Amino acid sequence: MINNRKSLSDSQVSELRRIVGEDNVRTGDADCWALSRDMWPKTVLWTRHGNAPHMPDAVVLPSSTAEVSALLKWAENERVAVTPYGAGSGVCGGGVPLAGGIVIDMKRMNRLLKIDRDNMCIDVEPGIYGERLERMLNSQGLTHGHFPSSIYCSSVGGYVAARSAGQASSRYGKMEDMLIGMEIVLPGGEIIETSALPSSTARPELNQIFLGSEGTLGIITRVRMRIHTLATERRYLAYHFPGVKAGLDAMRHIMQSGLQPAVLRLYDEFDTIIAGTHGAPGPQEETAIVEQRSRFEIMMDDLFSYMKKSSLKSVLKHPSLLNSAIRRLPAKCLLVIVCEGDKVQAEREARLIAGICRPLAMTDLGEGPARYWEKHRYKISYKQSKVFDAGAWVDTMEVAVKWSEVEKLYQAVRRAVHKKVFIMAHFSHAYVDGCCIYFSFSRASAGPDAELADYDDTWRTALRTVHENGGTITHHHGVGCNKAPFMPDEYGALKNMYVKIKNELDPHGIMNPGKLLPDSGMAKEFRP
Amino acid sequence: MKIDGYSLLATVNCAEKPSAIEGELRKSAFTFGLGIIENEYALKDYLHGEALLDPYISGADAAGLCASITVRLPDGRTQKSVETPRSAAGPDLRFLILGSGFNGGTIEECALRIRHLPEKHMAATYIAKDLKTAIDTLRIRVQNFNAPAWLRLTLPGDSEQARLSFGFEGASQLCEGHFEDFCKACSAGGLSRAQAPAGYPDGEHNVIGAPPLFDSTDATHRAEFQLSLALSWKNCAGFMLEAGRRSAGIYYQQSVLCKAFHHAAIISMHAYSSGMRGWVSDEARELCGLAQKYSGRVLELIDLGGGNPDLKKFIPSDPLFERIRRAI
Repeated sequence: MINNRKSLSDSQVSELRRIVGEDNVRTGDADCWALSRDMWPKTVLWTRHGNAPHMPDAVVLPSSTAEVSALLKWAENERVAVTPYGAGSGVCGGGVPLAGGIVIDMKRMNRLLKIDRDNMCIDVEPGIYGERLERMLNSQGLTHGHFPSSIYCSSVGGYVAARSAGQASSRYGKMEDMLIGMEIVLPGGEIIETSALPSSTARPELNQIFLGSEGTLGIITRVRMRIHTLATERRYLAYHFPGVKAGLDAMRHIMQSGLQPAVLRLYDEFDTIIAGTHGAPGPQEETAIVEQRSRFEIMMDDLFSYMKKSSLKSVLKHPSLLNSAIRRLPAKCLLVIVCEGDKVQAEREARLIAGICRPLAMTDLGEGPARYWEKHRYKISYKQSKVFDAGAWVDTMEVAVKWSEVEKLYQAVRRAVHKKVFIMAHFSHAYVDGCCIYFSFSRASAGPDAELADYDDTWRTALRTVHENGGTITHHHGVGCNKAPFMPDEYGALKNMYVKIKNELDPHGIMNPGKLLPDSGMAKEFRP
Repeated sequence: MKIDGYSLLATVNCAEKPSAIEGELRKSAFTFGLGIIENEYALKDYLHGEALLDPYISGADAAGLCASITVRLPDGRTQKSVETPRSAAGPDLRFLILGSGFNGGTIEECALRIRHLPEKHMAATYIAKDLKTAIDTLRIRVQNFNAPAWLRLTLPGDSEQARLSFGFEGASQLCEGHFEDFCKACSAGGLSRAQAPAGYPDGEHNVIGAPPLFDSTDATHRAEFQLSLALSWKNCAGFMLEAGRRSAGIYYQQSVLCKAFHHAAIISMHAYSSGMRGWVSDEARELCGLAQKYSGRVLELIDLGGGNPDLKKFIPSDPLFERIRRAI
């Protein structure tokens, strides 16, 4: 069932074709359906229910800043809604064209324009995929240092638009640290550039206003970002800790002592079992881990493996039972660490980190689990979860909070959704003052209507709990549609500043209507 | 002041002067990395961008020191931004207030990122045959995760040689390791270890903070304005050399590369008129023009004398920022 589709007139489509070329305007159902959704799990549920509620009228593929400018000028004059689209890996619905109109697909703007070795930065077009860019840089002994698990199916423009973070953010930073400057086309077609030099506080930093704006203020057409010399050495460490608190203490001490490991990931008790089951390291280490596991844990592993194959859905209908069983597990949490740089840096960092971890850990697991994690680091994101095949649903929620509130927030969210979904978490993206908690949750609902109701109810409960416990509702996935209802609480009275900027830059509300804030800048005719 | 030693955050009243905050923090064995401040303003003045704060951490800007801010908005409401290490929840609206010159509201409180007082401090001074060699050595270390806690790179006197002084600090083993890496790179780049200038620490020491930006012992001229600008690494040497050459006939100035980022550096300069004070505007205009020639971004232009015209008018405005300023 295709809903909500309005057609552009023939003359409007002709004008679009004049701007970007005949082949680069797609109006067929298949193209429009494909770009009516991204990787937001709710769009998977829509598809499962045979629904495509937010089809665009056309998909347009520009190849230059000039074409993007002409498109936005046209869209503003015609009052046509515009949804910018990168690679479509977003998991919050930022790419869903809620108001129809045109989707501007940036995939043709995918060139690496310039490598500047003196200033160690690159100029790239936004449509280039992360993995391809990394390969191009690696061939010259360089890296961008941004390794989201979606690297095979995500693009630079999306990283900037949603304030992305990669798995090595503790060393290389998050996108706001990596971005140096950008070119943006504003609604109406004006092309602007943000400064590529530090502001120190003497001027407001305009990069920070467009970062995370998710296409609501304009379209990013060029990005200048940091690069680094490719690391020549890596050191791998892994430990079991007697519970989340001890593991978090180790992470905090590491970051607050000035160390910058590339990867720090602490798994909670159940996520540790998953990591242990899948993450069985090299043969020797695997034997060591298995020997240390209790019979109960092995039984749970077997049960989970069994569930995955056959009756996952029926088990996920009773999340509270599963959560209660997990709570009875003996506490054991896996911390995976990767240090990198030149030989001296990597060795020194690994030695100092080992000195912090050993007194707090139960078991030194050697290199195996971290090596295994690295080998499989991109295995999950670019495939749809098998949980959907089993008739259930799964989603992830990544929040950030200061160290003094991490454990409290983690426990509070678990308690809040305990009866609604099966839940587990890991802790990553560590900073001096806090870290990200990455929750995964899953449930099998009683039918299509219940599925959407359970999904929305779980998110509402979880995000409200995050705010009540001092966290931010997103660390690196962005806001999109999914979290937009919580942005008024996130911004508080500062929200009006965003609304004023939105109204100034996009007076007709054509840019990605309905995203970030539910109603801001969204003209009545675009409201979903 | 409320200190969260677990998260290394201190909630402070922004009407306080930074040195008072730093003094209070040090009583509890913390610091937010403040160097020596002259003509001190309240913390809120620095955060609003009315003055340039010089935390001695070489790659840090003052905005990066704040995990959150509490703002009194023009409509009278008070709002605290979410206090988290990072967020992806839309544009970071703190940046409309930090550096806005009080346009978006008044910062009343902030959560400063703090650190434990370092266990160890190590400093050294090296001389390079020319400015480019010194800048390249520094740049490569900073780009390879080996940035010092503070640095001062300058051209002393009329010499072609450049002088690079730097300091590391932190946990003992890490500090020693980073210091050693940096010194090895200096030697490999052909720089020679030299005696530290007067007032600068050398070797292992116990001095907290960075040495002063400018040599106050030069009593022959009186500083009349201070210019700070950001330049890409590629343009630093060119600007510093040309500014030095131009100074001979009109004014005398000291320029110091004092902060190093991955892709850029910040240079501060003191200008001294060799003639009548009425020339200050001409000199400021000329230096801002020179900054523009090297694609620099003027961050601050402070009148250090009395009764001179407002020098800020020489800082080129950003049309988009002006548009946003009007909107909010």
